[in-house]
Amino acid sequence: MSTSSRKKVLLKVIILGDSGVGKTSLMNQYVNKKFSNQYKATIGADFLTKDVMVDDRLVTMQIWDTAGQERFQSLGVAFYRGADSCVLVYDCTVSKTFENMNAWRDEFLIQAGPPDPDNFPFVVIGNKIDMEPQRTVPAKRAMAWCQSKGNIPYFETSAKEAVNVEQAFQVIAKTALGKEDEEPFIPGEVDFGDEPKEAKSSGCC
Amino acid sequence: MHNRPRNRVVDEKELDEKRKKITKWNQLKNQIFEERKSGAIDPNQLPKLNNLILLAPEFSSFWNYRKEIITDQLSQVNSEEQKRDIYKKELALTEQVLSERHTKSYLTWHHRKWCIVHVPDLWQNELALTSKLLSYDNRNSVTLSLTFKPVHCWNYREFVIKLLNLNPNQELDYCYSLLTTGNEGVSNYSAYHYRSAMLNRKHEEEQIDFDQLLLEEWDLVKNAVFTDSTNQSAWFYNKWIQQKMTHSEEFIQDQVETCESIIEIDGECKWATLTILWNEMNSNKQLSEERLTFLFEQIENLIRLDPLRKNYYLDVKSDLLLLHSKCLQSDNVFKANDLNLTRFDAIVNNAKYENVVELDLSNNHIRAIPNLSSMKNLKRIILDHNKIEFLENVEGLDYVSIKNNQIQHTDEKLVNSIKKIDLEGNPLIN
Amino acid sequence: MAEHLPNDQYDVIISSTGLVQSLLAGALCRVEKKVLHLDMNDRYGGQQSTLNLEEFHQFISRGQHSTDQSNHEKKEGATSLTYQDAYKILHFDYKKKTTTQEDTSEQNTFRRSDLPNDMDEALVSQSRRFAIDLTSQLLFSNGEIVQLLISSAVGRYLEFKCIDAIMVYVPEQIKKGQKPPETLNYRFEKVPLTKGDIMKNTFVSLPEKSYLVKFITSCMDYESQPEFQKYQNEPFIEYLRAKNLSPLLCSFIIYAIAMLQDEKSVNARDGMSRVKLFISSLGRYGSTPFLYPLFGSAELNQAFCRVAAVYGATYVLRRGVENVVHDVNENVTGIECTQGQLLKCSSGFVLDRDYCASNVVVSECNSIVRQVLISDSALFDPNQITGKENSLGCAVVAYIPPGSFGNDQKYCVTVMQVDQTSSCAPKGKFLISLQIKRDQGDSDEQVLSLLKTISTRLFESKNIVFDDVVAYQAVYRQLIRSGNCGLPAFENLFVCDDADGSLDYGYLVSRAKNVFEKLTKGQDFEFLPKMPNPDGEDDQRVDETSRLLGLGLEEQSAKLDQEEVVESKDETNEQITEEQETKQD
Repeated sequence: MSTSSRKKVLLKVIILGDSGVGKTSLMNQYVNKKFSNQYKATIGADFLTKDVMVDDRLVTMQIWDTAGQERFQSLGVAFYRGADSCVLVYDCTVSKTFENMNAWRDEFLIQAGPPDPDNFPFVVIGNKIDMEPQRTVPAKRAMAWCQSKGNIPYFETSAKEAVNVEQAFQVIAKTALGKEDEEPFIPGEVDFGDEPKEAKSSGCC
Repeated sequence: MHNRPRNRVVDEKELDEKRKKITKWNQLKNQIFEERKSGAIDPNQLPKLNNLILLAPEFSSFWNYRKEIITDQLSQVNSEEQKRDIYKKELALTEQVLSERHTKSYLTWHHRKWCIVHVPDLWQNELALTSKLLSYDNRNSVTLSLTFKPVHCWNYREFVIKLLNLNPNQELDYCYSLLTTGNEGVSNYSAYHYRSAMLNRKHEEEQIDFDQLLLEEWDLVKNAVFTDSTNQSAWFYNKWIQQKMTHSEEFIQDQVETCESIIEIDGECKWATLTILWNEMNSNKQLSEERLTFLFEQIENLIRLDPLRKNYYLDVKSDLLLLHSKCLQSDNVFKANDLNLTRFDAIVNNAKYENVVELDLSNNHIRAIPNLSSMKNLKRIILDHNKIEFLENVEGLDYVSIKNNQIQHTDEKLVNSIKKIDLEGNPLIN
Repeated sequence: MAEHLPNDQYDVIISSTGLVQSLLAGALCRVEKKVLHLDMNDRYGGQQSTLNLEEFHQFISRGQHSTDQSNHEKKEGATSLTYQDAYKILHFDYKKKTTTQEDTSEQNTFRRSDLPNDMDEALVSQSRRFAIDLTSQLLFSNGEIVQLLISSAVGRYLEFKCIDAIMVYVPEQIKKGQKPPETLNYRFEKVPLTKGDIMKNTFVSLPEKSYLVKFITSCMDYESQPEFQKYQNEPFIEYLRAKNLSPLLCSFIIYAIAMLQDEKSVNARDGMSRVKLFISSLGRYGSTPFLYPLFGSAELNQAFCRVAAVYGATYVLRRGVENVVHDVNENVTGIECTQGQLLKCSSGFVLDRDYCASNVVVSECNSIVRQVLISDSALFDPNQITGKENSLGCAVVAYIPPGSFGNDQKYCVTVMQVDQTSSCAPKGKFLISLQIKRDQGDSDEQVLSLLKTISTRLFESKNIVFDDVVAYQAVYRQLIRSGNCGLPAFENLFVCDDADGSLDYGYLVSRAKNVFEKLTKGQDFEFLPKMPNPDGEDDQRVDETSRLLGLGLEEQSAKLDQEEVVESKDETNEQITEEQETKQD
């Protein structure tokens, strides 16, 4: 086949978890290598894209932020559509955020409705390990949970100090890529990603 | 906007960048030429050539150097597989040039032809490539439509079809699909042209009566011109059909009636009117006075709609007049005076008037004397009071009267070959 | 459960996530208004909701929403609200599963079990693959909503399908000199709209082709034509006849192009302005002027809500509104929502028509009756529509002019068929809807039986038995309420009328803009302005020529070795993009 028809792989990754666990920070650290100590309930974060090499393949990761709609469990079904991977994030210093992981995982499986829910690629991230003294969720407990849900890869990260962030996302990309082509994909004919060229003439003639 | 002086600072910066580009270009170009001169047949030159070719695909030296290197490479590998890979890279490069930057690049198409014959298993892909490029012709592609001239692409497609020895029907269908795509497809000139080429092949290969094929094309044209009566491409194609068709009064009748119903809907459709006139001229039927009057009205209409081609329309009128008014005085005298004729080619080329001995066309607006050799019996010609500027084609006649025309010069040899010639009233110099 | 909402000082509180409200939320947040956006349902969409089969069945099989007023105490300075259901379910029915069918429902642990046990397992297990719109809506490719989607970059969340064909139900053509038969045979015929389609068409006669193209071409500047001047106040149909358009072409124009409900009620001026809107959207993306969002129309609402969220709106589903609180100057100062919490807002409060004052009685109003079918068989065969063998599917809009099914059919029936190609149904299933306007005073039963007759006959004409192929059907009535809702005329209370029942979004967009202007009066804000570009793309992109010359990217072009030759372009581009993206803030 010709080279120009080679399709670029685009992976949609969504990050879920309670408000304040550091979803946006993780994204920003990974893509922009930036961290802001100042917490603002997500404003202005939409999705970030990053190109990564996975096993000699160049893929574009599109990482979607919840944009604050998770706060009152008000994420619409559109957010979940077509996700290739789901990252579940909790805060190691707040047990409640870990306990809610079950609910987030279930919500994802219901809303995204993947054809094979048991093998859908999740990745779990325990964030804020830079605050180790305040930790309330032991790593063991988290790992046990991950194991019980079909061996979900588990990472402990610090978005603030850029610990393990790169590694976690590398695995996220890899698992997402593994899921590819599971079901026939019917693309839309039109998207407004590129602005359409102005029609030469309007109307029939 | 274009007349306003642009910001100087920006200009300086732009100019600087432009200068930088030119310097770099020359540097790279000369570097390549040096290498070539020094006889370096080095595959490492290929990436550099790639970029230069993408910038200037009409620079034949680049392609030639490329061929030298590749020929050398090919001679060094043994397996078919390796050779194939080398060609594939060339195909990929040419595709990149053609689809991204320079669709009309003749040299690129040439290079592609040079490669493709060696890799028969890829021939089928070429159809898809040309289809893709040709579809740009139809679309509102900003970047390509400005520069896109489909002729090379069509030629290449025909070349591939021959390689593949493909049945023309598939190509006819392909043209039809192009013609019925979007709003612009109906007037895709190349698609009609290519269809005519494929029809010839179909006729030869399948032994189908050509007239039968032409009738089907006429049906297609009917649909096209009813959809868009201003569709020049379809009307031109119809002219080709008309010329190829074996003479048939029935066909002429159908053409005329169809065009008349188009005129009924769109009174300003000059192509329909012209097509009627062309058909009437092919017809052997004698036209009634009434019909002639109608046709002359149509011609007046045409002149009004399209004054630039007034002379052509008057010529057509002259042809009709000569063919259909009763000018033949006896078996051998043809007389047509005071009819505002602008030419008399119609009788010269018509077997009906082979026996005419005397031709009297005085008091018209005739501008030139056509070749009269087919009027074998012609002895006398009277062309007084016309607008002829040049005396020609009357060698060896018995009598030529060409009084009161615009002739300034005469050829002595020609004048001497005529028994009697009257040049009175011409602005002769010497 | 009753989680308290942050009591920030909101500028605007919006209730319901219908399209008007979603657009408004997005537009307000883009100009830095603080917005609280509530919806009493657990999904986005309001009146433009798109439901999966299970949700749809819940919607259909519920009783009428009762209006419970026990909670409403009369409070000082507050007006209490009552929910008024816009829908009335007239009929539903589904194919029962055969007894031999094994119960395989346990396989999918994440299937909710709210669908009836005797429903065909093929439907139950694929419930989530259905996207059933509560109302039929389409986007004109050149319409305002598409322009907004593009300029505001909201469109990047969405994907669309072009509607493949527009059909009209017309009688067979009688050739010149032929005696008309006793009863005319009707069938759906495609309305050809591009020159290519018109040229190909075999149903429309040759002269009709000319007249149709002439009409389409001339309608971009119809106002200046003398014929129009003369007829502009006459019935539209008279104007079309004066233009020599045959009855067939008139049907095409009135129902498929101007999208009118009947031929009587519109004059030439209004008719032509609708024609122009339609024609100006032709040829932009496909052979019809319509786009349809993959996964259904509620995707649009969610996209606009997302942009609002990205710009700071607070989103709370499953929360309704009880009371509107106002001051002595008749200004709304806040609302009390369903858990009793009082929330304040400074600029205004936006409500949809599902709420009205508790003391108001629903007056009769126009409505739409809609039949939704899930069928194993298409009414419009995808292969035929797309002209391709083994077509995956198609999306079709079709119109049945009034009177085609007897005098009882007063208005045009709009039929829509979507399937897996619009991500609205699983493979092999077709989602078909028929809808018709219902006048005040018409009986529900009459309209119900008319729709049932029509759908049955349409299948019959394809030699298909309705009951054999239709796995699920529902018929419901939807009110089109406008005007007085019984609430006092507070200056900063905005009650959005119901959607007007038309296919296109023009009305909804104009409503949203209207409220936006009032809410931002005197501030001269643009409605959904162009999104700031975080990449600064235009400035930083190395132009193609420089790249090929290796200017500014020396180190990269040097890296290209011979093996990479052909790929060089891609790779460099990727690196450029990567560089830019890491620069973004």
